[in-house]
Amino acid sequence: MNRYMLILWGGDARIAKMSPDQIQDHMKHWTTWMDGLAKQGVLDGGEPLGSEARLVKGAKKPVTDGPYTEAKEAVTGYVILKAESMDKACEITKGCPLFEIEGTVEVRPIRAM
Amino acid sequence: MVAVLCRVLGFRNIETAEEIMQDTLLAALQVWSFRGAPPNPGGWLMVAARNRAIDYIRRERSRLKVAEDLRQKLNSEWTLSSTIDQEFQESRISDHLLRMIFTCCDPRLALEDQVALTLKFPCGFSTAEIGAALLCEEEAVRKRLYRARKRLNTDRETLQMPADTQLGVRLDAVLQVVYLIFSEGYKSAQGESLIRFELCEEAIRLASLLIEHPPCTQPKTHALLALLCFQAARLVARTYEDGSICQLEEQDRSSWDAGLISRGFHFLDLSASGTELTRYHIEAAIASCHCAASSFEETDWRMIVALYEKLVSIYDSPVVRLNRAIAVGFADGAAAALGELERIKNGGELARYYLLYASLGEFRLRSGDYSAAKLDFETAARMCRSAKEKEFLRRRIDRCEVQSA
Repeated sequence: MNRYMLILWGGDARIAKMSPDQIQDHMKHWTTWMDGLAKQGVLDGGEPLGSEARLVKGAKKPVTDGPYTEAKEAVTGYVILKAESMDKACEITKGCPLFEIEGTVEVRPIRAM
Repeated sequence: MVAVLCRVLGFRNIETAEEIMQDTLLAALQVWSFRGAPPNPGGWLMVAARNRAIDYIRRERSRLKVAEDLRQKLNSEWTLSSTIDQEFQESRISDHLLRMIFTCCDPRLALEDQVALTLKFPCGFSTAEIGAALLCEEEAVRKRLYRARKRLNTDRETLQMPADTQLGVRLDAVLQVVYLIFSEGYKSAQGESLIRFELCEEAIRLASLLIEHPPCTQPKTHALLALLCFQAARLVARTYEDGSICQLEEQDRSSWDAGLISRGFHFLDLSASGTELTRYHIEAAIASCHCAASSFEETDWRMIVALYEKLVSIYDSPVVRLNRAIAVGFADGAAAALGELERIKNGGELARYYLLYASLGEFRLRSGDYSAAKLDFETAARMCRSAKEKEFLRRRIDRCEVQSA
């Protein structure tokens, strides 16, 4: 069984426009989806990410603000799956509630090193 | 609410569940004393407990072993709060209570332990209240609970309903515990007051909860609830205002609770299906005969004797035979009762049971044998440990003396 990381992009802009009740309903979909994955034994964790973001890079490792998460394309969370193949992982990904809020999911295999 | 927390956190974290609950109540006291109680105190507590549970899980996530089937959902922030919300939903709370009852009524534990655990967790009694209800020291209750809990913790991580195959056995244990809680309230074995209403109420609440849940909605559950309703309907009439005992014969039947009696008949009707005839069915039928009679004289004692015959055939015990003898006495006269009572006395099993002597005394008194009656009442009074019943027996002894003078 291989492991795949689903990198979740976007969705926050849409959430910001929703009422608390709508958000709650939406969060229930996440629970249902992830619970389903857990029951099938393919879920290996995952968390949503907050909007604050800083970058640490370069030889001197200066800390700068950004990437700006207000921008459409920011990472908003991740999920780790166990799946036989990339195709299977993508199949599972299609059920992700992120698509309800116009997000994008990048599916990447976790490399064995 | 402890039941919900316990469901989420697992039975082995029940101390934590209790701490969270106490913490919540404490916070409520502080906030409410400042700002006054909110319009919906129950809802406030629920939200506060929910938030504390979430905080606790976040803080302890790496160490906490939560209920296995919820682990994944509680581990991720994607799903944590909505999972907790679902478990806190009103409709699920009674499910959790039910799971808790079934967890506490584990046949591997001694019956007293099952009763104490049930009063502690699903019923929410404090150790002091359990001590008062079961008439033992608070310290003894604490030790009992500790040992029982340890026993359960070793192999029970989550509150689960028993599998279908075990449900039947387990339901019998649950019904027995509910029956015992009621009996203890109906006629306290020792101590000052005869009736402990709070125990009777709890038993009815538990039985009512059981019939709401399909796997437990069985004829025998209805029969038990019918029995409890019939008995509870007559509770108030069983003592005079000063707390002393009022015999069935002298009770003011208009003070019997008509609402509870009609509920009793409703559940008795519902119990009449299936093939299993339990002691609860028959005991409920006997209680219904009393409730249906408009006066002591009009009681259908023949029917009651017949029902006791039936009861002896499926659940024979010296106490049941004693009750049958009493019914025979009212159906066929004191001589018939005395014959049966003597036989029971010679059997020896009830040699230390005060009600046997009280019954012998009663029927001797009724047949005019005052001096023998007095001796029996005196024996009964010596064996009896309940203050109110002792007092009642004293009055009967006085009566014998007056009659023989």
